[in-house]
Amino acid sequence: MNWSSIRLLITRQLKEHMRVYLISLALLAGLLSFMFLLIHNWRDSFTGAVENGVFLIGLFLSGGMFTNSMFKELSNKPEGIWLLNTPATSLEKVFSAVLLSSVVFLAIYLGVFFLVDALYLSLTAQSGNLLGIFSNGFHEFIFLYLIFNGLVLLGRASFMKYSFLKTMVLIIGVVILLNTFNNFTLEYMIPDLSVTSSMPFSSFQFRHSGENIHVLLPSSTRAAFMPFLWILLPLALWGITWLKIKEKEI
Amino acid sequence: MIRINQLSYRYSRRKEILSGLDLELASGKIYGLLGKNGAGKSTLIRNIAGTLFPSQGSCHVLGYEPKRRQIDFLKELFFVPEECFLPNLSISKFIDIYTPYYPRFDKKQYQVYLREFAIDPRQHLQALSFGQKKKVMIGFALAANTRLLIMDEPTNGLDIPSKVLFRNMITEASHPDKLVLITSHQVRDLDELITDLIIMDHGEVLLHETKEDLTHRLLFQATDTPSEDSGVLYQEKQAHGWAQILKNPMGLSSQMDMELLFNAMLNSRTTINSALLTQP
Amino acid sequence: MKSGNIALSILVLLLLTSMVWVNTQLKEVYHEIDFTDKLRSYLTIETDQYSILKVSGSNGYPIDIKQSEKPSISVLRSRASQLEHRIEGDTLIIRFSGARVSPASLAATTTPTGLIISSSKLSGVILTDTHNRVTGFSQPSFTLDLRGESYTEITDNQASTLRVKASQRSSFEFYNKNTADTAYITLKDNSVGFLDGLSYHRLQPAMEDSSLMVLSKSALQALIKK
Repeated sequence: MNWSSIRLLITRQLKEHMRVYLISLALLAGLLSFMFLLIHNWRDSFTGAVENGVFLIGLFLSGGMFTNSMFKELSNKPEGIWLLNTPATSLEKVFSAVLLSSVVFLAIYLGVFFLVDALYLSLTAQSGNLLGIFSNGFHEFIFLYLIFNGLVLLGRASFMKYSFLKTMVLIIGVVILLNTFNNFTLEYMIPDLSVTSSMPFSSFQFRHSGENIHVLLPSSTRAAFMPFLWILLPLALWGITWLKIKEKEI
Repeated sequence: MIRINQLSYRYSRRKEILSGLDLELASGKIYGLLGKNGAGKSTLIRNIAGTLFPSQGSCHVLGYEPKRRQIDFLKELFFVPEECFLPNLSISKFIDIYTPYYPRFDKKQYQVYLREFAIDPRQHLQALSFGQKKKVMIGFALAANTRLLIMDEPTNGLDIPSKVLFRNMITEASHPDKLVLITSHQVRDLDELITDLIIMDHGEVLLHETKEDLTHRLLFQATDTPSEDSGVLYQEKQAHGWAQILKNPMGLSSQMDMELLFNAMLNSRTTINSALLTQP
Repeated sequence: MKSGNIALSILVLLLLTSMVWVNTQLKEVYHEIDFTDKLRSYLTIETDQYSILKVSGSNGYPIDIKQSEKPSISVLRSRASQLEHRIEGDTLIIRFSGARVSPASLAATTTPTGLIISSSKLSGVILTDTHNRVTGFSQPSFTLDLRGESYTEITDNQASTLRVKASQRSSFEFYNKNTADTAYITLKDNSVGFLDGLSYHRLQPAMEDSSLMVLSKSALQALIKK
């Protein structure tokens, strides 16, 4: 992998889409401000971690759309040929897309979010603090974003037309299937169990004498298993995206 | 420079586009790849450019396997597809961003091409017409000075003066180390340009000869009436009489009518091939 | 088959396998649950003795603090990952994180208790940003220090000397029968205290800023007479 080639690819991506990216940045700041305004006006109706909700809606919405602008060229033949024949390796092309849509995007998103959050707190004279990314395990959503990023990139590399819509439909389908499979295996493994809800790879809840009882993975097992899910899964998805781009035919 | 062995390409199990192609193309030449729509020309050149992978057989270009799309191979290849894409940039930014990818790119040469095509380098690429975009792309492809230049229907969208300019540019840019492969179904556009001719139909190569060999062995002539002579290999009615292809045992010189030869290969392939084989 | 598709299939298989493996671990946890136990929805952790308790975190789930023979912490199984605790000297420090809700809605909450802290000899409690229910303590001296908008319901406690300090918009309310020989009530920074459910021989109130103390009619008359 050649760093000057990666620098060229990133410059290329940014310069070719600069106008759209700048408009989107302004739109993101506007959307976040609007959501903060909404929760402020209806603060008596919203309780709980509303700031966290705003953060997540903004992150996944804007992150999904930004990630989808990577490898946009693959959606039609002439642009796809242009991308595939640009003298850089597939690994460099995928690496620069991952770098832009995960690291660079997250840095910019966090900057915009906290700017809007700080403005909101100062303008509304709220006594609260800025959103704590690292409190209450909220940072796990950053890893979830990386998995989402890997899935959107993989969708881009796999589907030529309507890749974002197809990827979203597929993600929803896979989540439903995984959950059904998870409940099925749990009920198969534990006879007479009636699962009311479950979170694959983490926990399940069942009903006993009218009471919901939650079963959570022991913390030591969770600590050992989660890095596999949070780190290896996005890496695997990016790796498969690389293979797909390498084997892409147009 | 390009070696293709038993190359087959299938879109699906039933639909075979190329079947068992054998081709060897050398550097220093300008190849014209002719064929009807759907003959397999674009599929062949996309296999050579590495955007499609052979279903069977092999393809080697400059010692590289195109399907691996190695960086050193991509630096030596410039492929101008029929519907060429140009990014959302001004011409000057386009040059700044993309020239570093091609080590032998000559910016002065590119400016000359733009001037000849009458394109203002300050213009935005998206503001250009289809023909102008094609000119920007052709100029860039030539100035990149890659060892392999592939152009799919490059003259589509060019006006008549630009076609002349295009022919001159290609001829001037030819080099002993460089191979230019041009496909077209507008046969006359390539008439004076190419050194070698490849005619394809239904995924097969019907003819692969140098232009020099063809004019040496075949005689092209126009007459007022059709002929029953056994020396006439192919003839067809044209606006002002008949065009014929004859055997050329005396080695007489004539102006090759590429369109006529193309039609002859599609209609009387065996006759033409046997005449080419039997003549020295 | 292209290697991208092979790799994707391997990843799916790996995910399904790890899902089954995680479920075998969950099955073990399930079999450890004592279904005859009243607190079967909770995970119970025994702790060493301590006399000072410091709790901070969030007010999304109420925290019960009660007197018992054996010191322990029981956490709602679904919130187990949000609990951090350690003992430093004579102090048990607990952080119970989670969502934050509007303090105005806490009194009427129907959310189940998230944490049950049982203590045998507790003399002081420092509560920050939490929703608490302090119940059934009988101690010669008992101090409650409420901070950071915490809301505390104090029920059926007895102490010779009771000290309640509320600051940073905290609020508290006495329920049922709480008794104290001497009650020192200190309110600061817009804090609010409802003393209706507290019987005392002597009240030592201290108030600063815009704090609010709500007393019964008789208690107020007694206070004015003095």
